[in-house]
Amino acid sequence: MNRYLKLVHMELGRAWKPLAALMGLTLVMQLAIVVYLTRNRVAFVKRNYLEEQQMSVATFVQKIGRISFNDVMMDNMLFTAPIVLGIVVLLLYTLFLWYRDWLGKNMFIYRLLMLPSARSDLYFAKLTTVLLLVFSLVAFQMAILPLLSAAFAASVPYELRESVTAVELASEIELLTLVLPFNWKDFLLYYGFGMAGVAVLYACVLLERSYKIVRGIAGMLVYLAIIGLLLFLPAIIGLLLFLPAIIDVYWMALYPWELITLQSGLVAVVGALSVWLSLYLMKHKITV
Amino acid sequence: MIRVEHVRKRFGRKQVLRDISMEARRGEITCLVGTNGSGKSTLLRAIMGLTPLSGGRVEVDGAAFHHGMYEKVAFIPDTLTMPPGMTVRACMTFMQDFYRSWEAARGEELLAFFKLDPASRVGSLSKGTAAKLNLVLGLGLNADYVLMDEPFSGIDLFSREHIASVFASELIEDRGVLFTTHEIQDVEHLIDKVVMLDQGVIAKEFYCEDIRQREGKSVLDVMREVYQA
Repeated sequence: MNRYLKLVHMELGRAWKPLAALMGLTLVMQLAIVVYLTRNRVAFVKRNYLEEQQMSVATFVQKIGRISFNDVMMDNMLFTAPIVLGIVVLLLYTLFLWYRDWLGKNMFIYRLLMLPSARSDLYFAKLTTVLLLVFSLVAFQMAILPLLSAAFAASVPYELRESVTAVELASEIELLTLVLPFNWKDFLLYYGFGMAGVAVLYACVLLERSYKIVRGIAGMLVYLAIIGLLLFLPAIIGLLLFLPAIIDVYWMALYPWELITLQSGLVAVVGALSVWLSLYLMKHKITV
Repeated sequence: MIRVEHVRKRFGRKQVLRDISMEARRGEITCLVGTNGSGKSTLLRAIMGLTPLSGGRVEVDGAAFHHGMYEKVAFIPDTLTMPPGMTVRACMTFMQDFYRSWEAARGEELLAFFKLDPASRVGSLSKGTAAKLNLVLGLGLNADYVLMDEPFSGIDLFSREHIASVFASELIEDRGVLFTTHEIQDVEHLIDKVVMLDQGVIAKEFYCEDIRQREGKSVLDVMREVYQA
């Protein structure tokens, strides 16, 4: 346990620079985008409604409605781009977390595999690091929402503005509700699926590292096929038991919560299988 | 004692080690020699559990190798085992954090012996200095056995002499050393035992003193007989 925590600490120490860069980039980009888009909208309202149509502010508010943060940012890819970028960078970092220790002039993996503790410590430390990085980025996004809200408020005259709280902001932007689910069930579901995905990715990396390129990639494909089979098992059974035309009926026969429970159970099995395979490879098959 | 019994290792279709059995005892310096590709490095990595065996077993003091053994068996590979961004000092702290058998005072002594700057970054070290840092990290452990893969490879004459002097020092005393080298002439006078590998099998195994006394031959003479026959 002690060495596991030390490994997590060390991995986080190695990750703080890219994480800080990502946070900085998110802050600067989102602030700039909020100010730019909001000012554009205010200018548009002033030009089109208040000047050309000579509407009073009260009439504008009555007919069109106040300008809200969500109206301005809704479906704007520029606003969600830093979040997508964060997800992509973290996904790449998940792979980099293993390969940087193997590739290059210095083979840190020698030292890591020769630590006098179970190799599962190393595996779980890397898995925990990814989870903590994701949570750090999400927490950062939450922390800057009031700042973004303030930037919005500063860019729109009071009488035209619809005030929103940071929580309302988080609940209105679709992508944010994905990374910041508002109830614990969704939280467990999204992050559980995410971690199962990372476990599958790790199993693939360790297959490749254990059996090297050709056999490793072949093993990876077989493993992904097994997982695919497992995840689509209900559909496959349905296909075998009923005529294709009845498939829809088969799915409809399950309530949504039943379907989610079934899929969650299968994802949990896939996650557990991936963790077991990874630990087996690390203990018995890994090669440097 | 490190005991290797009927060890086999295959990489795909290539059989790298074929039924290797040997021993390396405490208090002895054992040298694994062989031509390129003879399986020396693979054998060391197999002993350390860094590559899975295709067959056979490895024992340390009568017990099967397990992760706790990394406290008592140190391995010094021919590549740096620390991230390039770390300083030499941070490497020492890392070792102290993770190994109970790390001896901080000995680590400092080794740093001074090799004249390493604790503030240097690992990524900026020359090949010779990197080899010295590797030795510091391996010998700073209070391990009963030290395995070294090509400790003299690609480094200048003076660094080589410096490293070779470690073999005659109290840093090695009482430990079991198993190492590979191509520069046998530099350390021949320090070696107790030689194991010659050829195409994955042990071609010859002998104590240097015996062969000198019985046959009046140096290790190089025997190597010529074995590899040029």
